[in-house]
Amino acid sequence: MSSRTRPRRALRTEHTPQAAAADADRREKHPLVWLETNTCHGNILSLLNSQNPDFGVLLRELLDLYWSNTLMGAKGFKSIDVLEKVMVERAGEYILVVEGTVPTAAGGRYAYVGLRGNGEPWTVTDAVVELAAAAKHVVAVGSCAAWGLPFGAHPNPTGSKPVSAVVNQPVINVPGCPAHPDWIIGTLAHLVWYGIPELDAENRPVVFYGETIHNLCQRRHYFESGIFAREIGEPWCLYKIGCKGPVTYADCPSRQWSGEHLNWPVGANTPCIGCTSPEFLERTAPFFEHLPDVHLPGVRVRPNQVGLATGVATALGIGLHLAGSLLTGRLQKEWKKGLGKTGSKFRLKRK
Amino acid sequence: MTTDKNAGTRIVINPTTRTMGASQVEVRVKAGRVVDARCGATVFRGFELILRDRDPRDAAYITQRICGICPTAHATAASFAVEDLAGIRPPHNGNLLRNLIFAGDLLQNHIRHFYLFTVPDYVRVPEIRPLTPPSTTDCRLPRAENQRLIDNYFQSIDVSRKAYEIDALLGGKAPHPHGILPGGGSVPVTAITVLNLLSIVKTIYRFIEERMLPDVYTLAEHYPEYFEIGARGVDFLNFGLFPVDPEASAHHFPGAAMIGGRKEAVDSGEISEHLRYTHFEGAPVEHPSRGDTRPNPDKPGGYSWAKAPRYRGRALEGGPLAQLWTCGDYRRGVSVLDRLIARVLLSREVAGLMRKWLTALKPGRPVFSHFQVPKSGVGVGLTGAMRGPLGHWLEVEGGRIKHYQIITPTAWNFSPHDDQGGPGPVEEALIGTPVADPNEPVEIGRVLHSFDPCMSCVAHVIVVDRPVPDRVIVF
Amino acid sequence: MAKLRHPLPVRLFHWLLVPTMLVELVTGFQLTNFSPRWGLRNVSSAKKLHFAAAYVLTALFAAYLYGRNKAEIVPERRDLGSRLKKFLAYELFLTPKKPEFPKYNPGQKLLYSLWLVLIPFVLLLGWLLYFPRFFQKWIHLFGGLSNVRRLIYLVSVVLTASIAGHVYFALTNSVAHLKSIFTGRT
Repeated sequence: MSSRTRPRRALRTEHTPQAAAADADRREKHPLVWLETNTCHGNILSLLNSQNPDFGVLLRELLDLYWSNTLMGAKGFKSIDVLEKVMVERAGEYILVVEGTVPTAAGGRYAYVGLRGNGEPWTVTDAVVELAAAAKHVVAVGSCAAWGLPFGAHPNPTGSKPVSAVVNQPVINVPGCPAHPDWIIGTLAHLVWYGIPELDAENRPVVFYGETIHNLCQRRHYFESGIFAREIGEPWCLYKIGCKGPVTYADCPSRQWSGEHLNWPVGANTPCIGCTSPEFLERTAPFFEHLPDVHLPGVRVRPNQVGLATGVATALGIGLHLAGSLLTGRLQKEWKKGLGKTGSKFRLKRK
Repeated sequence: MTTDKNAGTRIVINPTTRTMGASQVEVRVKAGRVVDARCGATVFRGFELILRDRDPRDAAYITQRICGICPTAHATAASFAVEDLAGIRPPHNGNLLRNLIFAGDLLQNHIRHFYLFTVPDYVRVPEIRPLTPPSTTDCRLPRAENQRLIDNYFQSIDVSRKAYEIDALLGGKAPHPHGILPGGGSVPVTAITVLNLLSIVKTIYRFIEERMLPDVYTLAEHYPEYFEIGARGVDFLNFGLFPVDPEASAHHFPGAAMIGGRKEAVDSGEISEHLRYTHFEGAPVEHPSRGDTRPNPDKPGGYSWAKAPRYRGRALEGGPLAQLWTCGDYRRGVSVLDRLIARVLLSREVAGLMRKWLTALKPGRPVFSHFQVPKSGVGVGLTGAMRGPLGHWLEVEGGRIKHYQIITPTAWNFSPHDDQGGPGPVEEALIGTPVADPNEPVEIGRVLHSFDPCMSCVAHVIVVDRPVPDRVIVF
Repeated sequence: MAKLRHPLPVRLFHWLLVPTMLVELVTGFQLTNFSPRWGLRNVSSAKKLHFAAAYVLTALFAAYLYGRNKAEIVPERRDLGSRLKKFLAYELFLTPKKPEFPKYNPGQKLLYSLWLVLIPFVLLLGWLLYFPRFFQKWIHLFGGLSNVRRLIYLVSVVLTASIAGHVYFALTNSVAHLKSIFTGRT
């Protein structure tokens, strides 16, 4: 996807901040479909934590939320009808937000949207592909939708994939477990008003994911000075008890959670677990260890166990070889030979 | 049940919506009443498989990801399990901090459940998507009261956010806060934190007292027949919710099983998971600490991916009503409205308890107990949760998780038939429910939502695989 | 006059490489698990040293790749077959007779080739971490930042162990050649 923003002439007049300020009630809201696939629903709940504006205002003034399994009034066929109609009636207009992984194992039978109008079960895998095809933008909210993890973590029992792996168009990733309400509404508002925001190589909006937690961290000076917390609850740098801040892009330290911007995991004296990272859970766990496990055939071990084992093996190898060399008299011979030559050289010089 | 299960009109509701996660309810209606019900979750994630071979300390954070609306319940159960394994206890403050984070989440859950998931089944909703198209035309509230509930619907969003601010302050963020850990909490106790939290709790308490409670009674007043609908026997299961001290010598909402109205202590050895009507392979009845999750979509006879947990062979219900009933705070009856009222009363009680815990916090005292994870052993973590009893069973070998088994409250409430063909609690509550208009079976939705099912928590699936019926009303 | 074994540039390279690698490894392990007991006051100095040494190491390696005759250290087919067998038989004390090899024995060749691969690899990984935004696509290829960190650690472990082996063998096995790395001649 191009990282440049879309030209402004593509804007529709009613979707500008000016219009938003001018006429809140009669303005046309932007159609949105929030599709929950294989998810814990943490992201829609995080969206509810938005403060300025709060969710009610968002619904009344900015977004026309056609579908959300968690919040919609209708159920059963009536609700599916909404989804099937929006695909046709608002084709090319609506923003599709997907929350959750796309489970591809067992023919997609690990998650359903519901029964379609024709009575056939509609797997989320099919729904994501169909809805994305008619959408104006596709946004993957949460680490599940963006990266296919953590539900896709080893051994990935559901064959989970990220949204970008199953649809044919660019997907804007808004990762997090869950994503911060500001990341969600900030991205949606940008799409509605200005088009596609500046994205990085992983298709994340640079404005929220442009810097590592480590670089933004209030406790960075403790890191530089080597003042480390040894266990959870200590108010220093948590690097040594597994903080994944250095390998995680997000603005948690400056933005703070949740809607009221009060605190963040490191602020609560617990290590960042890298929940916005494409490696979340798979390689940001163990959460309280510095480095991820090494997968050897049939067993997972800690890297420092590998280091220790290598060290012991090397010491043992050298020790045994040294003992062998001494016992067989090789070492003495080698040294005699080597030193002897040196001696002859000295003699040579004296001549 | 003597009624022919194949008779009558078949109604399938899929998706049920306003449940946490996709689910399907299938009922048969004969002479205007439900005669058979089958419920299934339509998601599978296999968390137990993902947890294998990982660091036991990670369990509290990983299992939170099962459910976005009740993450702290899983974090708490996982913490209990690891503490049981390691043989340690959190410090006094740690216990209270964890209670507070859990309670904040619980209030958020109940407030959101009541307004966002339940109220749309009863009121005339404004013309705002996604509230429209509406769930029902059976709206009986007078205009002013209807408007009050709608106003409170939107206000509840702000108040539930405030409940999550408790979790943000003490746990770093929400959902999925970091503050509940094996060993205790992580935030030092200071006057300003306590003051902030007291203020937040006060706001929430007032909202429950002044808005939520009158609102639920308004519903009761205008929908009185729901004191009869969704009824079932006094068969409850609770695990202790909110330990009063680090040793968990007692709980604010004690654990107990109520079988046919008779109270008895919970023996977790009596819990078994039935697999006959599920798509899981394994020995037919297993204790959860030994149960194995081997999915097989083609297993004959299975109709659900949710396992059917039973206590001494009986389907027991969990949730606020069960929690209040057991400690004797609510004994009116078991029905849709009783469940809703109990949810609000429990929320008020919890908000009151939070004030007590906040004032019992001791500044300058430790919040976290350091510990080493044993190389091997077993641990059990049982706790009451938003929707009922939650159990985590953990087995560790070589310092790694060898086996992890979770039985969620929704697995109890929303469970399929057991090996003897007995229905799960929601299924049982649905039987006998009158359905006035098969084209708009709002009654079924109301019964279902009174349980607050959470499909995310079930973490396993239903395969929609049914014979072509004589008449289908897909609603 | 004895035969010239190591020309000046090779010796220069070797003795510049020794402190550079030492600094890289020590500060690298410091960055993974900092402890003031190791003599550095803070992480900041460890980081600065680590980066400075990385610049030197990169320059050294560029020079090495440009100038060194790699044919001497890359194993031939024989080195992996008959010569390796002879070498192992001697080193495992199965035969008392020390076999004769050209300039480097198969063990040395394998070790030096391993370094020829691992050092540039770990340098590349290090640079990815140094400019993470610029190399985002590369980092993605290597599985992400966390994976890059893990790879660097594992490579460093292998490098440390192999360097220990190298020093041991140099001091015990071909003492006759030891002088040449200082003076160039045996």
